[in-house]
Amino acid sequence: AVEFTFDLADGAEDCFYEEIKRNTSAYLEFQVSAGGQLDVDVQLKNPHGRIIYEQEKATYDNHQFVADTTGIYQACFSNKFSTFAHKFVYVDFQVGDERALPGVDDHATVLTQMETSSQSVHKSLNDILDAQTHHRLREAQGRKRAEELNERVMWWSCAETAAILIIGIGQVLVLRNFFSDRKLSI
Amino acid sequence: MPSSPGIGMHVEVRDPDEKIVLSRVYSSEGMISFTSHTPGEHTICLYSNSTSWFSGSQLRVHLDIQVGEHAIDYANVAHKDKLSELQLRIRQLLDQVEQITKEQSYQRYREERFRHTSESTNQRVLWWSLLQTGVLVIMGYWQMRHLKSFFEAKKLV
Repeated sequence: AVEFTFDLADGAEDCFYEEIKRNTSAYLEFQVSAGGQLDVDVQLKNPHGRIIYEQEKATYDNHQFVADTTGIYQACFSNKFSTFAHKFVYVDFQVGDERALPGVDDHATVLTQMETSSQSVHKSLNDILDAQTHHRLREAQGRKRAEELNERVMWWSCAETAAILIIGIGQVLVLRNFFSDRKLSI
Repeated sequence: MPSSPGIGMHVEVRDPDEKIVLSRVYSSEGMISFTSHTPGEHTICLYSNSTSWFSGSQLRVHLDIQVGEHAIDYANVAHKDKLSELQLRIRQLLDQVEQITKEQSYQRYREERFRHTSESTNQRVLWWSLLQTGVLVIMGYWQMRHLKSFFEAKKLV
């Protein structure tokens, strides 16, 4: 299992490859955390090049699938439709089951009650950590928007003040020019 | 994936304040590990230091990233601390709970930053609006006064 966030440049397509064996279940999740309209095109292709999962201009989705052939699967994220907004995309790609705890999880025998309950606690904690990751991504989305807004408010206000000054002085100069020491009739 | 010798990777890790945490050149394979000291977005950049002989070709890099409790090697821990199976499981649960706590602290820090940014935006909107209104009023007044004296000088008024 690997989770990471990468910067997808505008007009670019980035692909990630993973070797998956036949009959292994795999899970792909992505979320666009910043950039433009928070949308990205996703394509999941099997080793023969056939598209097994596709999304257009999606912000968030997940897909669970079972590999029907052994080989290299590729997940492609495309930002080709965007001209100047680069996107930050969070990806979570899990292949197979979680790495077993040595000794504890690879028991062939029946587990004791202690072991069973500790295993269920472990699963619940996994869910909590997952929920926290989603919360973190949501928060990053909101915060980045807010920081962008903050910047823009300042620069646009500067620009507007400059525009008022330029236009105000410009108007007077143009008007003066009409009444210059040439003939009054315009 | 067969690794091609001769191609190295330059790895650079930067912390949220753009300060370089790690900057090393590795051969075709390598293991990078670091501990974060500030909460926030860390950037990991990989540059290939291939010479111009390989220009035009593409490299496929295998990258395995594990963060926090995923980065702990329990086989190693069991061996080093000589833990029984159940003890190892309990240790794993404790690590997970510690991760949850760290994440919650992080959220608290983030919320503070967010609130700070929002208040700053609020302030900026207020002061810039007042300033612009002031500039408009002063501009209007100056225009009228200037034009009045101009026309009086031209003996048009």
